[in-house]
Amino acid sequence: MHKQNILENKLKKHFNYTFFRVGQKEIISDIMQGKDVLGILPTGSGKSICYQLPAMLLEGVTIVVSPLISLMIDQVKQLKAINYKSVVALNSFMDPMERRRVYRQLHTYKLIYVSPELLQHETLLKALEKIKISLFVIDEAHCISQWGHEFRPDYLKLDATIERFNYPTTLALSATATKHVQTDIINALHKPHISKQIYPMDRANIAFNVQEVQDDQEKIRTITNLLKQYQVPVLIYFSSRKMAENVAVLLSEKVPEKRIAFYHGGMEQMDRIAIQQQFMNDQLDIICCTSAFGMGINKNNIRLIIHYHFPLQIESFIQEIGRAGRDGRESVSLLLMSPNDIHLPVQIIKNELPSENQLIFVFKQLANLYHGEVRLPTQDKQIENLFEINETQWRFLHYQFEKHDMIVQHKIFYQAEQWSEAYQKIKALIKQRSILKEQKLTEMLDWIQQKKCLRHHLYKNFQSNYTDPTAQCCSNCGFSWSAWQPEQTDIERLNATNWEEKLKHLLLIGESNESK
Amino acid sequence: MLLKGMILTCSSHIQAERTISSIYHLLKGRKSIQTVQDAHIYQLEKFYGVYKSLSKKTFDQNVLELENKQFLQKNASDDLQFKITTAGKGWLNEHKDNLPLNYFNGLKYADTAKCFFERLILLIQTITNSRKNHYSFIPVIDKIAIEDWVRMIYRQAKGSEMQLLKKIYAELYRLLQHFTAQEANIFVDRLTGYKQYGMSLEQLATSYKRETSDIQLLLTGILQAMVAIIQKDIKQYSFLSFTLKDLSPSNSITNSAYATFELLNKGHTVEQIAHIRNLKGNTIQDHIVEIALYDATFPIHSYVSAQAQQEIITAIQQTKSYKLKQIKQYISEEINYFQIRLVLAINHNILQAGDTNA
Repeated sequence: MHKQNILENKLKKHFNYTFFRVGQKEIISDIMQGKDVLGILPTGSGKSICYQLPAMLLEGVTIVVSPLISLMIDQVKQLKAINYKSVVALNSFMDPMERRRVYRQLHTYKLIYVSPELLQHETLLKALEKIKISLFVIDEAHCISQWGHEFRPDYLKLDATIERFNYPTTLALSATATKHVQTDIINALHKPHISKQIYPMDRANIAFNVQEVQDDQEKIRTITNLLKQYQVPVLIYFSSRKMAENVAVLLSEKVPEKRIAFYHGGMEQMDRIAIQQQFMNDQLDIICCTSAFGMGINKNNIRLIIHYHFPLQIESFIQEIGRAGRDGRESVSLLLMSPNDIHLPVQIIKNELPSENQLIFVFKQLANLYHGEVRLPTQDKQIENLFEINETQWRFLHYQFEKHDMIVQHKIFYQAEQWSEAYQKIKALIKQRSILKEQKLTEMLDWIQQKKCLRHHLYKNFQSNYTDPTAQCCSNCGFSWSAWQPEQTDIERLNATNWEEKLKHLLLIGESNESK
Repeated sequence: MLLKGMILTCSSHIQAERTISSIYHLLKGRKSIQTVQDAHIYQLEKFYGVYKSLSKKTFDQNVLELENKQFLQKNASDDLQFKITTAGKGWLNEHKDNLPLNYFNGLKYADTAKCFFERLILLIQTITNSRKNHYSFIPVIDKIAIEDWVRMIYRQAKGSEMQLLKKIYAELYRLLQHFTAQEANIFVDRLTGYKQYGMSLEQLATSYKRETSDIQLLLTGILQAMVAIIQKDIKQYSFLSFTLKDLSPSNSITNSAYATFELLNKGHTVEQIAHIRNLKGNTIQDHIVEIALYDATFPIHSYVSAQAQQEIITAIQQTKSYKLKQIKQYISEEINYFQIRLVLAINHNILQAGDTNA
């Protein structure tokens, strides 16, 4: 008991929270006792506290492997903003000079975020071996599973990394892992005795709506009506950057009184921060975005999440709607489905894996390079151009080529028999992965077409039960918009029209109590 | 529109003596000797590196649109080279008041202006937040060098934030008088303060009904013009000139060329340097041409005799061209391309003065 109070005091001291949320204390207590933990906590439940607090308390360094660079950078910013300074994010986009400087001082950090790709670099591994690693965290641990929705080949090498660091306490975290994926994580890490801290992911304060519409025009009409009716923070998800941009422009014309912007991974870093923060600050009401938005966003009053396009798997959907209503207040998810939408995901899935023709072409190009005694280009972009494939496809093939000893670093090793065997294996794997992705898609579509309770069927693969909804349940159990009356957010508009006034306001000129 | 204006202006200077992608490299600020040399001989220094994030796709698309409008025309002998048409010149002339091309000074200020703006943005965000006792904000600029500089100013200004903010206001107010109201508005809307984050490029584009590329270029131009104004009048802009003080004008000589330069100074020959650095002789020659561009005391006579120099200059004047191939046809056979390039590099200022084509 006494010990647990200590943890709460530390939480207050470092993060200014007075109590732990569900699961946090259990996971942290396990870690502090040196136990390996598999933690499955729902989106928005404060997963990161589970390692950020131990990192402060443990002697030595905590390493966090995270697949998303933007997420890493966001977390580092948020930590620095609350004065948690000894933290750094290592990724391949860092300036080389800056990276060398950081490598020399690794021991001075408490928390080091690193991408799985970079964690395979010998220079970094050597530098990390020299320091005391007290906690090794695998964030988004479902990426380790071939059956997970976001398989990342580099995650499979993490067990070797843990061994190299002499088995530090390990924490594998995820928000969305089916039982099957949980087993995969445990097996891939060779940790059969890991402490399992698995918490339900259902969200009692979110009501689910699926609405069938005829076409895009009807989607726009529906959204326009909702936006006119409610003054609340809204996220609208799209499957393509272009559509997010176009609809943002269209909605701005239809609902000029609302402040609408778009956000996707193709924007400049400074602009991405600006849009995120404008939304956090209630300078923006509505964001049209791709799945790139929302990771690590701590806005607790998002009230409405609209899916203009449905995601390719239930797991993504659960994560995206999980950004609504983190303050526990009644919030709504609305998925719009038109007959044409069915064709979109097929193309997206195709683009994620190389086709058979592409595979043949890549093998041919690779053999040409070998016979011309040329190494692989050093830049991924050049390789992608050479092989005429995209980034995701190359990441997949790169791992396969390494696994089959066809390339080591950038050098190509040719052996006719071995290559033809590898070709067959890769071809079979692609087939297998495509089938899996199609299964995931079918699951999602089944859910959308579900006639019975949407809540029940959304979570059935993850947990056996769910909490009763705090307000309305779902469109199949009966949902009425008129019964949803969320508190309207204040809208503070700057009325300055000329730059002189705007500049004055920005620089706080002419405010009362100016003489400081 | 601004990008198109730039492409047309560049084409009118280059007169199809270079391929169209040389303009792309110029705008991107490619650190190659060829690109830097092009910037000098065609008097396009001002556009060097003004659009570093320009994609080839956007560029090609703009060229295609200009071609479709018949403002640009493919060269009969080489379809990678383009000429500006009479209609193109007419368009440029018609829109010259809306195209602030004279704001730009890329070769000199591209890096300075960028750094100046990043410092200013982060400083304003930091000082306004500090004034409001709000210390947990997400900084919009994420660069250690910029953060260090802002931290230094912040320490000095702590407790007297309002004084600094007033000073910044007064100087920005004066500075923005040099620009149109719309330009000043775009600049101010991009800034971030206390609980008020600046607009993204896309938001500015929507808000001012311009293309995103125009907004990006316009901001770059405004900033480069600002740096020039501040440096001309440092008394009026005591604080803003301080933010610039330690930023030297871009030194475009590449690092590799600099290593060659040091070896040359130690008295090594081209062959020796190539051997020492394990590089091709041609590469070392490229470096020497680059050095010749920047080094006023470059000993040209060690590479080209006075007579050969004169021969090359005469050939340039006769052919009215900077094309190496054409020049080569007019001169003695024993003079090589390397020597022509060196003479071009040394004389770019003189040649331009007498050149009516440019």
